[in-house]
Amino acid sequence: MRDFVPPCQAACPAFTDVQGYVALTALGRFTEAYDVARLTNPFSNSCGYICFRPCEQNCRRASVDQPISIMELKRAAAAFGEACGPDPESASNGQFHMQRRNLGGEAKRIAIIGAGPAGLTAAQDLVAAGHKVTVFEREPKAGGMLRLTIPNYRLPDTALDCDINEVAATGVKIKYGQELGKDFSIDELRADNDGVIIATGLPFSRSLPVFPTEGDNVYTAIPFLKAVKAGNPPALKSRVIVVGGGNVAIDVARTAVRLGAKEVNLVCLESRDKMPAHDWEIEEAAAEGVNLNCCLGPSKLVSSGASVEGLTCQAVSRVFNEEGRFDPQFVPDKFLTVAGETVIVSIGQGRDTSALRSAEVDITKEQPRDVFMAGEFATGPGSAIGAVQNGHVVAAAVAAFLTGKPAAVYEPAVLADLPERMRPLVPARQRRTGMTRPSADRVRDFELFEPGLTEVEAAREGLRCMACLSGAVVDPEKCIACLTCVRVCPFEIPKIGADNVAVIDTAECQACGLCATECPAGAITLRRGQEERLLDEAVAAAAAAKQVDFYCMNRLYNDADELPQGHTIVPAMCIGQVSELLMLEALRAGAAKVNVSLCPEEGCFFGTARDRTIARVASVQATLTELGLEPAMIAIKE
Amino acid sequence: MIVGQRKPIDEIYAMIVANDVKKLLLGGCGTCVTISFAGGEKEVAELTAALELKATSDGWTLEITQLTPLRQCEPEYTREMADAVKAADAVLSLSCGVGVQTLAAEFPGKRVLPGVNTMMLGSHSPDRLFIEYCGACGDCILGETGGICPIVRCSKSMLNGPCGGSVNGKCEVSPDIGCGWQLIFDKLNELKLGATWDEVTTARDWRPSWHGGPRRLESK
Repeated sequence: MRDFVPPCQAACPAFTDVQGYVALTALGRFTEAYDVARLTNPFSNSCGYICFRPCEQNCRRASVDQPISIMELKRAAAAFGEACGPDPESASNGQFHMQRRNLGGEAKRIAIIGAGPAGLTAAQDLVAAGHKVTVFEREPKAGGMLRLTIPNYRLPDTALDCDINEVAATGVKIKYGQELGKDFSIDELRADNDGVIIATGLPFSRSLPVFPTEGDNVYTAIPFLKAVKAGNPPALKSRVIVVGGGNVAIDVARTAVRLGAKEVNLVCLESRDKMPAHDWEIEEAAAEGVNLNCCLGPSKLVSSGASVEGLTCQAVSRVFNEEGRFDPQFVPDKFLTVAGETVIVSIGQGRDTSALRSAEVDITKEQPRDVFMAGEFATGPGSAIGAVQNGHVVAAAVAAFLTGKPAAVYEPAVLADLPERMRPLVPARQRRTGMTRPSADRVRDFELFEPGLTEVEAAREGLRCMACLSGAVVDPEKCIACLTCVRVCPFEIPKIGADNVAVIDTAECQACGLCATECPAGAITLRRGQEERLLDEAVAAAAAAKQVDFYCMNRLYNDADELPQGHTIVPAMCIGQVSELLMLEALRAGAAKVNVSLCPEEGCFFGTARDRTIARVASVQATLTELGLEPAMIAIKE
Repeated sequence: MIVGQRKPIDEIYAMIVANDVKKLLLGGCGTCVTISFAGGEKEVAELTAALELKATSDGWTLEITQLTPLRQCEPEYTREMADAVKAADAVLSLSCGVGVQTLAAEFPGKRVLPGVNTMMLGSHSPDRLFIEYCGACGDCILGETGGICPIVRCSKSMLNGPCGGSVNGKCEVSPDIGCGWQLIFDKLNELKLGATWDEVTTARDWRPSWHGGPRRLESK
């Protein structure tokens, strides 16, 4: 059978197991959640702040109410879990991280130029494949554009440091202050290594002939943002004009607001709905006082002597032609002037190829087989997570080139949308975001503009996940078509198929687990090994505390404003997952008391779970009585 | 379907102790008793856990192996259990009586204990109620009684109408039991076959049933 993945995972360029870490977050297991998020995304901590979250745009919950705040949960996982501290070798790191230490070998030598998301992702993959990898970074710190330009109100350095430390700890060697063309040449790298990856990104800011290259009170985006992050912000004149409609322009505009600009006017060619910047970023900027001036093309800088006074713009009639190509057209004679004393041009970035032409080879023209290009250097402008993806792809290509073995291809099917009939059955639950700081307050500093979720909020938000693809799987060899699953399912999902085997529609299943616990033939299991997890946790709780409290996750946080404490609590997706066997195993493992908490009748999403649970507990109590053991060892808790 | 019910666990445990069983093969049956929640893979696992819990608290050394073939009533399937049977002191079969006897015949010298009471040939309803529908009498007359069997659904297996204990459509044995003949009467009326009610059923030949000794049937 072909594997399925939920659409959130399929949408993630790095193929992150979103559902996996969201489920762990819901359990308050932030360290494990962080480990899962990091498995395919070495920049998961940073992405928890800045990702453009295609996962959320594809979340199946959107058809019920709103998507899960997935990015916030990734952030919470790193913030509340034992993520990497400032010292990568610190003992506070989780077990998983320790197991990933120093993966590298000596199989082949690879040099990577540029320690941004693409370069370091490729580096980590290649180290994990047993190669010796050295990354050359011209700056004193790694992270590329995330480090140099993403403002601190969006991404704190600590998160990025954590990601970098994790990569370094796997055995990737990063050499700082090493600039291509100055400290080493491409020919030298090729001579010393079996493969070279160029991942130098897009360091140049583009400008337009209308503007002086860099003059009094005219800046370009990258140098401007870099200077601010380096702690040397230019003194902005009172009114600032930002040219450009992309995400970088938004960063520039919001940074200008924070630097005390009296007025920030953003000017862009596109209409509001066609601006390349993400919608939410535009909204956040507008909330912070950035004025949007759409459908305008810069025409002439108005200046008096050395002083800028404004920017004359021409109205735009269209930006793209019929074929969708960039081909702006202007309305004749329709001009207006936006007043301002500072202009920051943010209309795109370009790559630096100056050091790629050598006596041996001009890499801008022909690419030798041992030289690879990764990240935005190769793909053009994109996202951090897109650079991570490309880092994976290039690492696989390099590994295939070095070993002669083709890379494995894995193409699972994507789980379909939640079927229409299921949508009204899933209870709506309010989405939580960490967006709680008023704009008037947040523009005063470069502290995080959204404080993020608290631990309890994160766990509760995680509970909103519909746990797509955690549900039932039928083993056709064992199924005897006894109809038990058909009869016990709260949503009438199982059917007996044409070949006399139960069929449970993965797209409909809500993963309560009732059918799996009731199936007398043992033919139904739950995906993601939930039965094993429950058993392991029950046994651990019994051994540690002599008591096991089985809880429905949906009820877990209802009563308290803090995460449940103590070792006795074993949360299940639905209390119906707690089988008689599980109760008995908890007793066998040494529990003197096993409590099974019921959800209130009216609050239960999985209608039949309550009755079945009551029956199961009664059955175990009868068994204990028959055996001359104390039936009160197991009890229902309302 | 053959409907089974697991024996009370204290009775099972007493058999194990009385036979001094240290290594037990707990054999489920993957067909009828699985459907009746008495002897499938799930019940085997639960019973194992319960017995081990009891044995531990008693200090009784009991090692249980679990195995659930498709059916215990066919030698081809029970033979799959041969190695496990050999290694065990005794087998506790959660099959119906047919399975228990097939196992006992297949493995001479091995103690086979029943863990299930074979209850009836019955039907399984969505509310987990099993109702006896057939007595395997060997001479079916359902065609004359509107599809309701007087042999098992009348407490006295009467063939010519209700006895004096039929009160308001219920049997005098228990108010939970519908009078079989009331059901037949209503059904025949529904089918507009009320006239057949007057026909007298002659004395029945019980030899095809269990009164003729153990039955043997040679299929064509």
